[in-house]
Amino acid sequence: MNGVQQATPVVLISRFVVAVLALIWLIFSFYPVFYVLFSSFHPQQGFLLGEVWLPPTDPTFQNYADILHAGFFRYFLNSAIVTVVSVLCIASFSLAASYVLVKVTTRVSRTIFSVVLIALAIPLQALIIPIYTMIYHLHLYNTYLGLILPSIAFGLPLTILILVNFLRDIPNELFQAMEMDGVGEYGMLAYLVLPLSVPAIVAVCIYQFIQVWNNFLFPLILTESASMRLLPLAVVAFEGQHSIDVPGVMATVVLSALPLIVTYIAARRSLLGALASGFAGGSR
Amino acid sequence: MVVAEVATVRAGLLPPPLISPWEDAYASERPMYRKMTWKLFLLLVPVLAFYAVFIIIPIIDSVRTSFVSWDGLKKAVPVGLHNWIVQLGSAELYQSFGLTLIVMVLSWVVQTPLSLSIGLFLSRSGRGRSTLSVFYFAPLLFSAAALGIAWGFILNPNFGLAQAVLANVFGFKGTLNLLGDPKVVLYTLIGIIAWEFIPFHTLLYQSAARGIPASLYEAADLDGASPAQKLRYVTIPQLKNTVITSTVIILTGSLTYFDIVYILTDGGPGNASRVLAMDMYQKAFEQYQLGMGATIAVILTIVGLALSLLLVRTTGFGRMRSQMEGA
Amino acid sequence: MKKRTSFFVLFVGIAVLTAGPLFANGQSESKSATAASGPAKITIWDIQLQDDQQMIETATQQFNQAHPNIQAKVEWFQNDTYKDKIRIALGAGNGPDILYNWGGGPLRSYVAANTVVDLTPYLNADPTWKNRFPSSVWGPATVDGKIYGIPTQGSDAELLFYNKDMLKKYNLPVPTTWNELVQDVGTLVQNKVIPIALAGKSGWPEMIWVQYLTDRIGGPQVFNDIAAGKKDAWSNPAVIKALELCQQLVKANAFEPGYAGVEVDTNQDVALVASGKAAFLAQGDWVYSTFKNSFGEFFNAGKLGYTAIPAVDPQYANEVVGAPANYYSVAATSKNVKADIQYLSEVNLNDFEVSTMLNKLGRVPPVKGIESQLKSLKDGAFESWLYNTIAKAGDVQLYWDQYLSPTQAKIMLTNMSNVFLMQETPQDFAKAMNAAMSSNQ
Repeated sequence: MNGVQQATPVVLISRFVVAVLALIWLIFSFYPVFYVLFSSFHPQQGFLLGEVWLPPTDPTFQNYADILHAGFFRYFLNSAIVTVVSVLCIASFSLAASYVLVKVTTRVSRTIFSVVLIALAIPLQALIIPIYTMIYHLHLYNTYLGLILPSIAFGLPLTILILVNFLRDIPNELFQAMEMDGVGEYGMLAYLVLPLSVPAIVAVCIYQFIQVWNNFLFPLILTESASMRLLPLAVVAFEGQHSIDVPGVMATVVLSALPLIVTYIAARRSLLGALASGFAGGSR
Repeated sequence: MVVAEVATVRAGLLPPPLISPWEDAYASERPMYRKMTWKLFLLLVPVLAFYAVFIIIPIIDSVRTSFVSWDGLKKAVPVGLHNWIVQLGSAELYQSFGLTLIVMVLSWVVQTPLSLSIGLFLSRSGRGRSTLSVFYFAPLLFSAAALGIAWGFILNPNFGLAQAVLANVFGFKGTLNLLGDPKVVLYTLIGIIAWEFIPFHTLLYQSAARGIPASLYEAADLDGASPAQKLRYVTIPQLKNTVITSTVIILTGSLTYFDIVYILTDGGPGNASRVLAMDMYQKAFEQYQLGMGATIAVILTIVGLALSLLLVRTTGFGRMRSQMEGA
Repeated sequence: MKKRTSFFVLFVGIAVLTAGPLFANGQSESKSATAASGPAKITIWDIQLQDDQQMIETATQQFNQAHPNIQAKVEWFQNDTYKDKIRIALGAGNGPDILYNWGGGPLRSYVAANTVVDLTPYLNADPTWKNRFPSSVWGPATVDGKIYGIPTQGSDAELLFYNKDMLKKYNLPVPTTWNELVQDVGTLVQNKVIPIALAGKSGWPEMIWVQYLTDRIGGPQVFNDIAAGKKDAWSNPAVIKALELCQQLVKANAFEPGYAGVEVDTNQDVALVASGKAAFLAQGDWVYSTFKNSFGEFFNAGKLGYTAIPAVDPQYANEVVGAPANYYSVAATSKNVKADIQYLSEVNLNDFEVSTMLNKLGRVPPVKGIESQLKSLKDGAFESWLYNTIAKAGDVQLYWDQYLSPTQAKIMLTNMSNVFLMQETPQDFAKAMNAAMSSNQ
């Protein structure tokens, strides 16, 4: 936080306690993920026998081989297209809207903000049938656009909420200074708001990427053919009428999460880099 | 350093204004734009368009459906207030509501302090911490289906890790029945949901904490403040808005949360974990009484909206003032 | 700052450029056939996996080659999600031409909404086709005397599996009567072993016990009354007694600890028997394959035993609970009913499919005249036994949660779960179900 703290016993003990707590939380938060990982290497035979909570004694890649043969790349591509386009749109539309909502304080803008909040309180399942009907009548059923448009709509509320919280801290003085220089509304957005809000944008992009990538209900209801299938549906392909091939499901899940993991690690660097300088000054 | 200086220098624009963050003149409440110009409105159009088409219209459709009796196949039969009367008079609805309230409150109580602490912990720089945060974030990357299966196995009373650890490490003689005991299952679910979402709120607090200007801490140091005092008088107040954002998300999220409940317990055993969102899903998609399901969905929406608005209004969140303006 | 290329304008440009390819769709099969141009296209929606899927794809390809004027395509869905999907699709009039279903309650609601075609005239017009199937399979697909589904897949029955080792170790005979089972349970509990594995969370495993007991005590007429919606049919003493017997089992600790949270789909109950932790398991015949494929060590050592659920009243000792078959129905919106019928009569359970099912998949197709083929199979002993058990019963009582309307079924499962948790009395169960029956038909 600031300079060097003196290494008094109290400080040392508290650091030790903190370290232990951090370790406990690490085990607790990561173990289930670890479980998913090593189960994916477990052979189908005897999955629930032996020491269930340790990695398998005879790991195999067969589960992964099975999935890759089953058209994984097509699903991956479909998911990638839908997710990337959706996230780009969510981020840009939300940023533009948040900018307006934060900087304009008329009643209209406050009402719009309240309307945005409505959507947070609705479960997706409640609206899926009307959306399905609408998509079908727009002739977008079983198309990329038919998946992208609703995904954008449902990614907007949370993103706007978070961006609003972030943008409000950009001091008015900066805006006023630019205004004096003759910069218009769109210029402010492009040259002031956008550069300063990179950390927040990256954060919401990561989150929305995960949400859209893993969304199961939209592809289920809004698509039909195997060529339009998205990854979450591929996961359930291992769930039969009477039983689930658990190692198979786990392998699909891991493959499906790989892009997320990669994106997250890559984006984090820029996220933290941007956060470190921040627009409010000084790192600690 | 002056608050604005770094930003403007970074943006490569103008020389910094000569105001320090501690002078009253800084805390200007003059809004940036007094009215909505058409140019600004244009920026809102995409969001408004998507909202109108994919959220407002389906909501209206949902409200309409709450006044009919429909099984998804036959033509819907209008029944007026019948669904509403049945639902509002049914003990089941209130039981679900009660369960949901418990989930909402306890979710906040569990998730906020933990996310706050971990977020603050991670916000300090250090290689160890950034590696840690990658692992801490991992639960968010996986779909509910996978995590549900994993937790189902971990908590299995006969095969699971939890049972094994308790028996072997702690010498626990009985059986750990976290998912099969109706008295306990709701709390188990709250724990698992917290596990899944704490990483997200941690990220919120982490980002916000890093955004607190160093100058505030320096000023506090000059006053001889202890770490605890700095936490209480600088950090927490500066995070107030983030706490509200996070609270709104937790409350509305737990109101509508569905995925893991569905996978792990399907509302059971019996009705012990049948929260409102689960009730809605069961009525609409398992019993095929879509009118009843829509009724519950509308109730959910009204409650959620009321809560959010209440929070936003009473805490002044909606006034969009910066927290650095001496709030 | 002369260039006013604002972010917004830039974005609009990108949007316009990318908008084109986004209208690309997957190859959505057109479900209509324009008679003037090209072959009639029919779509079938089905849920099979892996080898079954392979079999049907091959059979369909053979059909397409033999009939250039018809192009049949099968779309594959996952079991649970399929139920929602087909309902939404049928309700919106956007379904396939041929749909897989399980008969019973959902099929009745399809019929009530006029979304499926009455197949009786087509069956009557082709007696060889109709006679391929034993008369007992039509039940779940018959509504008001008319047939709405063609049998497919295999016949399923619920039976009692057991761990031979454990029975030998504690000197337990294979139970043929209910009292013997209760005695076995007592001995096993004394020896600190789980008597019966039960996947309570999933609901229907508990229902199997209740359904079988009701059937064994009062015979099929009890449920026929319930199915017909007779007033207070759920209060039949056979139902009450069945529930009481189940509660006795619970009180005697017959089921594994935490049974109410154990799930069936991930084979947690099968694992209990295979790992020697539990002795008995009431499950469907498909679990035989699960033991073979996922618990090979146990299976190959010959430790798996199977028998019928023990009898209560000797006259009902042969009753069987299960599914006579699953069904293919034809959607009312299909533009090519003739092509659909041709596909169904030529592909579904034809010789190729029957022999694949018997030899490769190890299942019993619901067709006549295969007794001799059964004996020569690898798992011939089991499959002959299964086939004969079903034949002896004459009739297979469809799972209650499949037969009843989805509304009643869900209410029943929830109440049953409470009964097994000792939180509801059998009488209260009957009261709740009678109320549900009269208000929701």
